[in-house]
Amino acid sequence: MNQTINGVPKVAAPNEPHLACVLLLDTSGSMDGEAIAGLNKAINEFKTKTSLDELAQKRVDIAIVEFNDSARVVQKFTPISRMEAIQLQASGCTAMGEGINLAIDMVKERNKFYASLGTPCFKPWIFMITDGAPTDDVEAAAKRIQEEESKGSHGKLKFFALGVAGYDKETLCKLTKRVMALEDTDFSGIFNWMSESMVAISVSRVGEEVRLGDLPENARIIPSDW
Amino acid sequence: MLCFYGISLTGTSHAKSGGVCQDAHQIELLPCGRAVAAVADGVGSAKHSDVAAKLAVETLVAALRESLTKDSCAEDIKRYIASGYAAAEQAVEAEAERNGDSITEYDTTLSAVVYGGKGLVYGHSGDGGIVGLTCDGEYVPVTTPQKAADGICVVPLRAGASSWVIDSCESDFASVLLATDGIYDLLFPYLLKGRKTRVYVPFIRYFMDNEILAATPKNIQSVKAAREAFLSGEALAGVTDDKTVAVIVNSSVLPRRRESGYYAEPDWAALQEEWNRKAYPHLYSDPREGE
Repeated sequence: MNQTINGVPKVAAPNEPHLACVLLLDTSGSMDGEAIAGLNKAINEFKTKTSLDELAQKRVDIAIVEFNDSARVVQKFTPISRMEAIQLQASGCTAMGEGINLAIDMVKERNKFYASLGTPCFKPWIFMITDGAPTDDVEAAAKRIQEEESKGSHGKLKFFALGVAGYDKETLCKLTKRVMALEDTDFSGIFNWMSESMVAISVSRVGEEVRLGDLPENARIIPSDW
Repeated sequence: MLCFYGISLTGTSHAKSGGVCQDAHQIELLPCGRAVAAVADGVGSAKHSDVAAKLAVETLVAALRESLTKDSCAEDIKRYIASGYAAAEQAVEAEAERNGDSITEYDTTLSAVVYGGKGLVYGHSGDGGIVGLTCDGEYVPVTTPQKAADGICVVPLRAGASSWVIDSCESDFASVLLATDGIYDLLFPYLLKGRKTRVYVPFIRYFMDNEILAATPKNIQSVKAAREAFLSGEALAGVTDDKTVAVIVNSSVLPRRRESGYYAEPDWAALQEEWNRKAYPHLYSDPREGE
């Protein structure tokens, strides 16, 4: 059946580009208590808020990776509106290097998947949250972040690191130029910022540099050339 | 008899920031009886890409106007197009140099055809493209979008002769359409990738099937006006990029009507479901046979 009104076509083809985002979360023992409770609450609210946007619903795919004694996929890439509620627990060490490598593997694989289906995609995000220093080697992971962010004219990845009380500033600044610090364990503001950023990217054109909004009051950028 | 129309509209993403249209097009019917059409899309981040796009199409069309004769064969025309591309590249470089700017601020794509009512000869550089409607009623992509290795960045005109694709198509065409990527991408939705019919037929035929256009030299302006209203209307409100189409129709030919299924609206819900099952297999507890 043709969909036309007086011969004028109705353009019904969905042609949504996709944005892959990995939430890379430190669930080591030191995150136990207020921090992990705040994180769980903020992520679940992030899902609710971002899902309200019609374009973000169709375009944003979220995966969740946690790292403690090792790294584990908590949630595979899922449309944001279909994320299940999470209830992370905190214990163990801080296998940050393993987590970063896993997250990079996932976004690269994901973008390859999109390309195989001809699906246009935005530059993927990895958003890491940590309150400590790594207990494994992060050298290789740091090198990979730099490599991916230097590829092509605009890079193939955006890596953000959010430090929570007790975080190792030196390590994070070696990993990425996009380091932020949270002054308390109220994650809701930073996840609102993430939600607004995802929405802004969703409405942009693939390849367009999107200006991100201001951070919430309890977060600050750690000086770099960002 | 050849009729033609061309439309370039500023995208809402540019209009909002007070920007200009970075697309350009030009179409001419030459004394030799052939029509020439060129479209160009200035790269969004390049400061003077609107100037470059305009300069590229004007220079190329001017070069072809000078060279083409009634006796020009396909090989001649390919050479003329190649020279025209080189002239366009040089013109843009000279403009950048004159203004003391980096050439990267003048990045643009460029696609062009020479069409005499049957076969066509074309040049292509960048991520827009050309589609032909054969007399047999089939929509045929003539070009392939050119993107850099990252899959996002465009291969611009200044990538040089080794990147330009200049060739001819001997099929009998009833019409030909050129578009920049704002529209071209809509003609080939990715949900149709791998299907027998890759092009979004109900959409494209509104622009280039003369059974729908009913275009003649006398009414071509109203044909154009209707398409322009459509492109700037609600149906394409989600397309924020600049939009350009340039169409040349041989109004003496009506393409063969194919079976009704060819013109049917694809089942987007089913296609999206198929894509979702590949993208999110963990969300489906009922794997289909063969999955």
